[in-house]
Amino acid sequence: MSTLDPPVRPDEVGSQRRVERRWLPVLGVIAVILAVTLGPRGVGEALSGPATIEGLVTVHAEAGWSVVTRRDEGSVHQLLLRKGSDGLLVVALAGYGGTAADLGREYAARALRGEYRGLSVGEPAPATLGSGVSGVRFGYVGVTNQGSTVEGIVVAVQTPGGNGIVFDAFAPEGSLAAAIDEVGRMIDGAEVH
Amino acid sequence: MAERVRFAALHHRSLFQTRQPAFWAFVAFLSYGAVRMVGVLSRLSEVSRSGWALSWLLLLLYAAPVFVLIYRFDLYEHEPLSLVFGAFAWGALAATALSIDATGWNQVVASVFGTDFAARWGAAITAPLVEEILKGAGVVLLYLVARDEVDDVMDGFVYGALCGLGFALVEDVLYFMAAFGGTPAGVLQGFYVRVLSSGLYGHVLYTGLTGMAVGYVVSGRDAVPIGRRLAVASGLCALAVGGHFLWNSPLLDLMPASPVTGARWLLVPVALAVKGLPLLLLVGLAVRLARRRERRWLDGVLTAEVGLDGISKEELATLRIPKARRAAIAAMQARAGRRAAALLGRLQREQITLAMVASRVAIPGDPALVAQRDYCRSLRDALAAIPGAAPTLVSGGAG
Repeated sequence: MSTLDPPVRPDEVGSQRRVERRWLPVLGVIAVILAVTLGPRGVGEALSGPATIEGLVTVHAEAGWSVVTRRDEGSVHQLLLRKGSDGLLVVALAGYGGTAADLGREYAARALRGEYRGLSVGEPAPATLGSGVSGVRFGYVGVTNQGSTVEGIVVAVQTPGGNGIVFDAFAPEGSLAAAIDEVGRMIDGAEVH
Repeated sequence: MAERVRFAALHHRSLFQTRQPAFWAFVAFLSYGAVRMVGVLSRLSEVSRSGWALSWLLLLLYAAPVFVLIYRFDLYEHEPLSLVFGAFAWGALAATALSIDATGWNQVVASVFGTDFAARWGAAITAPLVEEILKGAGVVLLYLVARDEVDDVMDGFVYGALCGLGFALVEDVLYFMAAFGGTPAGVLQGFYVRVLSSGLYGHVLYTGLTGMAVGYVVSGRDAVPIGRRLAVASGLCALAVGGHFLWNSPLLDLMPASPVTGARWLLVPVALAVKGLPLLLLVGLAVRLARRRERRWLDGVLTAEVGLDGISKEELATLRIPKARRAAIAAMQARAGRRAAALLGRLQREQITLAMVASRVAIPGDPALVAQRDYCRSLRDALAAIPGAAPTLVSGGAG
């Protein structure tokens, strides 16, 4: 061996025995991770129940969605559910006298145009909830006051009880596709009165 | 499962310990996180390609030097690169993905305390607990993979802080592309708020503290009772969670109201410093105490070795001060060349290893200790054979 070559390390020799558990701590860590991530699905479902506007609409929130605001102004009631940057706004108008198409037009003209700049609204198409209640559906894209582009889908229905319900699902541009399955299930499974 | 008696090997110097069940658990969660986060991040890239590219460029400019700084924090021993990158990757991919999966806790808070309360306090209550547990779990898994590499508080800090850095990096991209709109202007705003104004605070500190807690529990097992170790670790974790709680809470909220324009942007770093600076100072104090503990350990262990083959009095005086070690290596390079400097660095690292072996064996004549002393001696002999190296070999360049 050249004097310039560093010597080879001796083989490692442990001369102190310590009893080390291999599996138990790992299983403990896995249990903690699963409890933290899966726990809300059990606890949340047990505690929260559906999101309800009394007497008008009940939405069964998917895992990870939570009600962040409620607002009641006379005969207009709002419920906003959020999951991260995705949202589902439920607006219920007690005793709404128009059709689903009227409701959709009014919502686009008042609520969406008041909220977004550069609003682009798609052509309405027929929609039917899982309960058989029919309505209209249309998409939109707009820009918030903060400059963020938002895309959304609105479903407006006139219930057999004479109430108007609007479901407005929205997300940052490009993200709605990822949430569409979940919001679709929530809208489709909503109970309207 | 049956416990197994195993010999405590000197060092498992790599993450890739395929015989450790902890390694496979780590890989499983990391793989899940990678698939999940690549999907999430890819969807966000469709918001704005230019904003996306700018996000990563700015964050890498921030993260790279911070990574190096944290990596060099340990006074005496740099952690194996596979483990430090593993910690970073856990934070960036596994912890972020699992935290997204755990957002349902917000709903639990809303159900228990009401939606208005949850809107104001939900992020402060759920995120610190969820995120620190998930990041800390990664540090614990790394320890279980390579137990000998987490043998003091500073090791825990390094792994924890790097895990936190990875988490912060990916979280910032999510914020830039979603909350700040994803446009280049929005990304720059987000970078100003979340990095320039508050990059010193946040996940690096929180998980650094959590890592210190892990390091404290698992080190000094022979010297400190388990009750005291758990009490100190609990305090460190409480500090991490508490700092994170304060950061997310509406308490001490001095941020200027939106929209922020003109000179009011200058208030942002001030407002964030009010929340973040106290914890930064506390962590600085904790790190200082940990370094002092490290130095005391080194002195205590190697003093008995001075005069034997492993280390001389002058070498110990140099070894215990990182600046002196670097100066000795620089002087050696100037005097005897790069190979000699590399060999001196190797000798110093093996003298640190000598300290670790000495702290683990029961008797001075233990075969492992004798072997390590012999190895240090052979390194010194090899160095002495290099022309120009020998005269100041032991004094670190004093001439």
